[in-house]
Amino acid sequence: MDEQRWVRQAQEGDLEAFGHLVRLYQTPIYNLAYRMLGETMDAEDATQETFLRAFQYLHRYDPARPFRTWLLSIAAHYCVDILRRRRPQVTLNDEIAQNSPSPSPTDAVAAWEQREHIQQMLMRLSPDDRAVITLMYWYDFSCEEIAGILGTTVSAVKSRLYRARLALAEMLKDQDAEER
Amino acid sequence: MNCEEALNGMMEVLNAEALPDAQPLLLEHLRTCRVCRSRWERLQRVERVLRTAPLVSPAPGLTSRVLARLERHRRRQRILGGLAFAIGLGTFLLLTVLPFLGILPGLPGALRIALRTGEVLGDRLISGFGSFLNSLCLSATAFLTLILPLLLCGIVLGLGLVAIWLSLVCRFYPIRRSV
Repeated sequence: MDEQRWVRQAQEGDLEAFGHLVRLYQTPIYNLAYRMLGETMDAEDATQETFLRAFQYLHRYDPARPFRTWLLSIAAHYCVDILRRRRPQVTLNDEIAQNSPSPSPTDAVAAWEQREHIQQMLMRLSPDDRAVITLMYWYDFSCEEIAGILGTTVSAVKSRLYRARLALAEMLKDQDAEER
Repeated sequence: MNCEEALNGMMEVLNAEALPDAQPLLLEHLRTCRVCRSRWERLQRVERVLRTAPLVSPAPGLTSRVLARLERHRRRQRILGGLAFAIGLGTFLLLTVLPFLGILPGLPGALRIALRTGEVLGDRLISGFGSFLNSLCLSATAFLTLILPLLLCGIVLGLGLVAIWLSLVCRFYPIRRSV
């Protein structure tokens, strides 16, 4: 398969082969970073940093493991580290209200609003819970796989899922109450 | 089934881990408990919202930006690696060649004395041998008391510098092998 060949060539220092891997995985990595960090600039920077680290530590990659999982693991750890170093964030309600475009019937705006709405809810979760939710819903990983990626136990993943789902459901409840 | 068990049951359903015989109990509870029913509806809404959310794509040209950054990073590593090598080599030369350079200035004078005293060399051979042994003893004493500790310090310092150098070289030029 091409991917394995590119990985092997990249391990030998071939930048062109690594470029193929970047092209292949840039969207999943960027999406994870965006869902975790909530800002496009930060997501771009985290994506670049993930690939830089991946290239640097490519000799440690175990070919028995899917390359995508390995890359996502680097990205998730990097984003969690960034979020832990950040000061506690204010809820994004006000920020979103300031930055939102005025309501419009166009699809682009509707899509933007939906994206921002989901993002707003995610940003109110803790970094660890956000990572679990993102990996579960955007990448269809099982609890076991998420545990492997984040370097934690399956029961910890389930507990974070439990907490995050309840928090998100509560946010919907509050939102419904505001709309009424 | 109470509300707490019902909540656990909901999570098991969402994780696709619910046992078939537990589901009727959950449904029965949801029929009778309004709070749990509305919570279950909200959890399902969360599920729908997240499952239908699209992947966000990066701005065009990300690959070339990553590769350009990687190239810059590699160039910097090469410079730092070269610097580490130069420091290591310099330290090695300093510790090995310099002691020999130290005796060079005294060499011409020693040769001159050797030539001048060449005529009486035979006469003085026996007494010279005695002097030689005497000097040897003095040198050995000086070596053991003064030079040996300095030499040991030099060796330790050298080994430390070589270790730093090696760690820098390994960091910037990792051995590429698949694990």
